[in-house]
Amino acid sequence: MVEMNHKQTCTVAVVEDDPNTRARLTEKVDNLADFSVIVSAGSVAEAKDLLRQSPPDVLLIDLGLPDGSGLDVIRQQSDLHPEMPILVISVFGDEKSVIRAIEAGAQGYLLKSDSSLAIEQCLAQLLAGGAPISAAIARHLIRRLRPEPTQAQREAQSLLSDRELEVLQLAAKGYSYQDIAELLQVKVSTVGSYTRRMYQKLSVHSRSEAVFEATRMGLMDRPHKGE
Amino acid sequence: MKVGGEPVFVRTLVSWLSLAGALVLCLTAGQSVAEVHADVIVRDAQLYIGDVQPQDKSLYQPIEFTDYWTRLRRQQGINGFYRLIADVPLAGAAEQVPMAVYIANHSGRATVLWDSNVIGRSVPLTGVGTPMVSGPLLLSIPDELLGAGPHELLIEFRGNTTQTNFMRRPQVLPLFDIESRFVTKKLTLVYLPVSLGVLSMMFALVFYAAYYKDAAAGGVGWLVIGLVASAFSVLGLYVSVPDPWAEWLGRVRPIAFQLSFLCFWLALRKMVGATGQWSLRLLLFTYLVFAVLTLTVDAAQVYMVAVLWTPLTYALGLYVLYQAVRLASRPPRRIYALLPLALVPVTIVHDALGIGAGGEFWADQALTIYNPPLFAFALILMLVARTRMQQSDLRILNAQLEQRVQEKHAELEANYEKISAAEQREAVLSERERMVREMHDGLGNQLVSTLAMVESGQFSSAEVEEALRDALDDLRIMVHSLDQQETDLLGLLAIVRERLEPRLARQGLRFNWQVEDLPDIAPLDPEQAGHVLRIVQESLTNIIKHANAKTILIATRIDGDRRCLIIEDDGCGGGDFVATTGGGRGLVHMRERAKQLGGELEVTAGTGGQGTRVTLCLPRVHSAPA
Repeated sequence: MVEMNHKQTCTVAVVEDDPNTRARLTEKVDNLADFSVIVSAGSVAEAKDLLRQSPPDVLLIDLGLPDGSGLDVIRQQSDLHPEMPILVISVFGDEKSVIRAIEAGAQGYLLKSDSSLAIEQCLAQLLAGGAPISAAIARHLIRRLRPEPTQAQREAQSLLSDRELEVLQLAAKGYSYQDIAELLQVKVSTVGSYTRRMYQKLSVHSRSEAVFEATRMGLMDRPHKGE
Repeated sequence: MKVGGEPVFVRTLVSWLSLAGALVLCLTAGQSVAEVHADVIVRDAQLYIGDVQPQDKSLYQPIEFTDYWTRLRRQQGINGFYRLIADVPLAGAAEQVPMAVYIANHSGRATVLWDSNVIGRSVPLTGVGTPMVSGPLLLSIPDELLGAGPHELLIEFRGNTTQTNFMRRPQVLPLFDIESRFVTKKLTLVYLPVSLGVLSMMFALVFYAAYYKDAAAGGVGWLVIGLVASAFSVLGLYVSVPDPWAEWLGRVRPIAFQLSFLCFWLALRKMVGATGQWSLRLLLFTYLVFAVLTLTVDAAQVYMVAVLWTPLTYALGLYVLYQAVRLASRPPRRIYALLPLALVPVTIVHDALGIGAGGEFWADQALTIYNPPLFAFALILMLVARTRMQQSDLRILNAQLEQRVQEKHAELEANYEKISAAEQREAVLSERERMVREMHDGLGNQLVSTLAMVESGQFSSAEVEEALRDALDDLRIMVHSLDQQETDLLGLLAIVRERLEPRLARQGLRFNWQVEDLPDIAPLDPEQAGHVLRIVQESLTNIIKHANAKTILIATRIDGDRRCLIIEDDGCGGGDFVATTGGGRGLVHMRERAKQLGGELEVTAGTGGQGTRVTLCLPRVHSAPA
């Protein structure tokens, strides 16, 4: 559980290699009430080190870092702190990188050009247990988490619940959380938490797939029993 | 293509050597038999023709000793009785050992008298019914009847009606001396032919089972029928059947024997692929005539029919032999297949020699009756070789075909790669052109005008920010269109919404989102997606700038055959919209883009006369129902 309901200041880590962007983002977040940046890093190594020393409540991270990919940091952090909200900092929020990040354990993305207001809304949604979604991400989730008709007979059941599927299908058509909440007669935050849950499923699903693939390729064919 | 590996002269040599070897065997065998000495001097050999054996000895007519049951004699009556009286001069030494009478082959029944005492009658050979076989007869002479001086041996033969019966000189020899000869004769006369018959029958069945489905093994059916027929004719000799059937068996047996040659001829025809019809008809006709004759003529005439038939069978056999030799010398050359056939002349020579020697066969019986299996084996060997050759031909052909297919495949692949590389280059080029155009018209213009705003210094930073955000949105949409191979309409609309909604919200505008999938419109390629995006973007920009609206309806509709995208605002009205943009480039460009999409664009008043409605209609794809 993330502690978010109290008035305590929420701690944020910013990992971004461009000093200007990092400074701007840090300033924007610090200016928000209830948020303060406690970790600010410009490389994978630095980020891992600092995050281990002082884990924040929220992690904002760029993917293209000089000494590696932000995905490594995301994976590590989501393993260590599964409930920690992680946002990818992106220029365009293009689906390929965002989906890779979600598979690694992130819950959404911030645009570098986003206003303070947008950043605040996004962080609030995350801390409330929700997650943002775009149509393209919804489509991807439908593809990945819902088996094909033929596959459906093999797999006992879809990873998605009926409700989750409804949310995804509407989101894929471009309906906003407000629209979806109205159509399904639920609270907006409920839609967000559905999305958050589905991101977790995708992450787990793609990791287990990766393990399966690795096993299949003989990379992990020596099981160690208890030792 | 050479399949048979060995040189021609080796094969020729082998075949001639085998033939010569068989002939040598045949002649030496005849030589050894000639050494058998006859101790019995036949004094009186007489024949009576009639149904009942007469008691009156004067009714017997004298006959040549070498006489056999000829056609002429048959014509005179149903049964005939031979009466042989022989003097047996026994030396003194012979009195000390058990003596026996040995008759190498006899026909029908024989009663043997020694000095007017009956010492025995012929009985069927143990275990095998031999009603028609000229089997050996061995009778011991009781000790008390032996003594010094000449003895009289009297044998009464009763000949049967359908068989050719040869008279042989009886022998009186020590028992131990002739017992072994008796066993040999029994083996060659009974067990060997019976075994051959059974074997060839089984072989025929096995062969048929192995090859009946093989199309390459043409003629296998005829071969098998021929084998079975020949086996039947041989085995028929040894089957005991009750009297009325015995005669019918005697008639059917030669028919089966002749049938086997006919079948071999038919099989050979198939193997060489002959198609001549007249020879087939003639042979079938002849065969049927003789078969009907054999079945219908008087019992005494059956032999005559057989005699007439035999030369034809020989001719057919020789023809089959000739064709078989020709076939064996064709690829695949299988000269060893001729080895069984090399024995055929031997049998003919053997029988001819026997007849030439006055009916005294040195091996007791005609060998030509074993020819059908010889033919069958030779033909089968050739057939198997041919089938194998065809299979290997097929394999070679397949391999060649495979290779050619692979070559063609590689060629096609190379061509395809060339073409697809060219196509790829072209696609990259056209995509690059599109990007340059888009950047020039969109982003470039926006940046230029923003720069102008900043330079003039008359615009607030909020206005400049807005202009820059416009440019960024444009860039994002471009990035997105580069990201996707093809997009569907709803995905595209969702992108627009995500990118533009924050700006619209700042202007106090909100979306009324009413989109549903339009399943029967084609997916959009990047260029088409660009057109749709620009149309939507332009419409939204117009609304922001001019409409003074609160809500923007984005909806998809199915209108008869048309698939429509509707962008409608609740602002100040269509007249204004058309007035402000109609003369400008905006609407013209939007129409142009709609045309490029294969659709059309309408601008009308919104619902209830309020606001403006832009309707983009896209063509429907008919090929994909459901």
